Amino acid sequence: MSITTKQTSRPTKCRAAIELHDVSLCYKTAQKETLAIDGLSLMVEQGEPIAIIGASGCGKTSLLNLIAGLRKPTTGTVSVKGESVVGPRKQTSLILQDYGLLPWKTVLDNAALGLSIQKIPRKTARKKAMEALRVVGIEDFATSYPRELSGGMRQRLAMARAMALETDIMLMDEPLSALDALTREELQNVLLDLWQSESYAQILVTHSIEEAVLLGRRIVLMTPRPGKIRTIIDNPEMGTREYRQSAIFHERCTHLRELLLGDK
Amino acid sequence: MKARLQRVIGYLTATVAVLLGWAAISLIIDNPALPLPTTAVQQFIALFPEMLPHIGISFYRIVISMVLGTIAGTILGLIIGRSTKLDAVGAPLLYVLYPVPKIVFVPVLMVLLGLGNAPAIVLISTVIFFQTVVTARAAAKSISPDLVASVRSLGASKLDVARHVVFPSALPSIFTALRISAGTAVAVLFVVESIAGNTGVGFYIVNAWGRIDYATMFAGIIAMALMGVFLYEVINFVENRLVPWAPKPE
Ligand SMILES: Nc1ncnc2c1ncn2[C@@H]1O[C@H](COP(=O)(O)OP(=O)(O)O)[C@@H](O)[C@H]1O
Ligand SMILES: [Mg+2]
Repeated sequence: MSITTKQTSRPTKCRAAIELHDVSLCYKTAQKETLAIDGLSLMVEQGEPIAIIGASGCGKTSLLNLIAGLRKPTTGTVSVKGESVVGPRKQTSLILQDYGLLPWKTVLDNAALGLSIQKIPRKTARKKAMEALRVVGIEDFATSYPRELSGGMRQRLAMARAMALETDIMLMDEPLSALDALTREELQNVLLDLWQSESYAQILVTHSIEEAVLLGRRIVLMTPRPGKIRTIIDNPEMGTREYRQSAIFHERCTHLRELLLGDK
Repeated sequence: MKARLQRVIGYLTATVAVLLGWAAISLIIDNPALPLPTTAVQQFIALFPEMLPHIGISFYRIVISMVLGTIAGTILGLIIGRSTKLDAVGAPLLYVLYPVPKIVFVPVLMVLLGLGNAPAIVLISTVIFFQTVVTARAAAKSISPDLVASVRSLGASKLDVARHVVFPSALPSIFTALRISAGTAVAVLFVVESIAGNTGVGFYIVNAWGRIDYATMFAGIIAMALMGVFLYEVINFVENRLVPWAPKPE
């Protein structure tokens, strides 16, 4: 089933950015137990962008929570940068679908939130946050509140908050799904540019086939619940905006679509 | 600026409407128990210096009580709203006690606390406390878990979450509760002052009533009404300062 592609040579890194080994996660509530993830192993290299695609409820959000240190695996191990994850880590950024912006803080204070939680002096925090707003192009809105921003600008703000923290692991849970088609494409380009200039390892959960192919050097397909890895598609040609127009891009989208339709 | 002007115009129009209605009823029933608004307002102005100490003490009681009740209610409400364990105990307790009319405890409080400020402050604080605790609990429960997860992923401790998420998110509903309970607080104040002690606007009103001095009684009623309006406006002012981010309610 695999598509033959030219393999570009990449320097091999000594340590993995993210390593999941035989991880399972079971939610226990008073009524029932839900096995959300079952024996999943995955290794993400430093600076590698991964896209994850899978049906609703297959455990994608749970997986990100595990890597972000918000939950502990029931069995198996999760490590980031060679260290076992015991709780939230300073340089791991998690961006959820609603962006996690605080409506009561200005754009600048939202961007500085991570820094201020880390007790960085206010002045330094604001300077760094302002710089991050500049990188994502919303510095003119520093004194506005999130409700005054468009969807696309909110997404940029969430990115800025991560940038200000000098993120090396970026975890994103369907970050663009609430945006209209044009804004979405624009933000996909922003994500691509930021990943290239900051070179963090990235896991992007998405429902969009095109988004996965544009932004994932490897695309992980998950099985329905309990989540396991079904296939991983290599997509080494990704990395530029122009990739969108290429024949390989379309070929890969078609391939992915066929695999997903096979599920139904 | 324009909004403020509209507000002032609104108040003026409402006042005129109330005074006209009052005058009409007064003329129709033609009874000394309901003097004309002109008489009452004249009396209010004439007696203002005499009433001032009573207004001062009533104000002191109500402001202290609202501050105490709100702070205690907010803290407790947010805590039980965020903790499943405490909520299991706290929620049933609250819902049993919440509907009990606190005013019926006036006699008990007078016996226990005497006739000074204490019974008024305890009773009004309690009323405000229940209003805010119920509101704060609901507000804490409605906080999006995703929002908390996002902030936690930045390394936030429980205290950070309380400070950056839980408290600010509850502020608008706390202010709504305060606005609603300002009216209740004035009513409870009146009842307590009219029964216990010889100070406060409530006492002043009932005392004039006893002397069948209806004009003076109405001067007191005007003072009490103005107190309610003033409180309401103070709450709005503080809210605008503390919650500049929320869309303004109309
Ligand atoms: N906090 C939770 N408590 C209990 N069950 C949960 C919780 N979070 C998720 N689940 C369950 O775990 C499964 C996977 O959820 P999730 O990771 O959100 O999937 P996805 O993000 O792929 O849609 C679902 O069946 C969901 O109902
Ligand atoms: Mg999800």
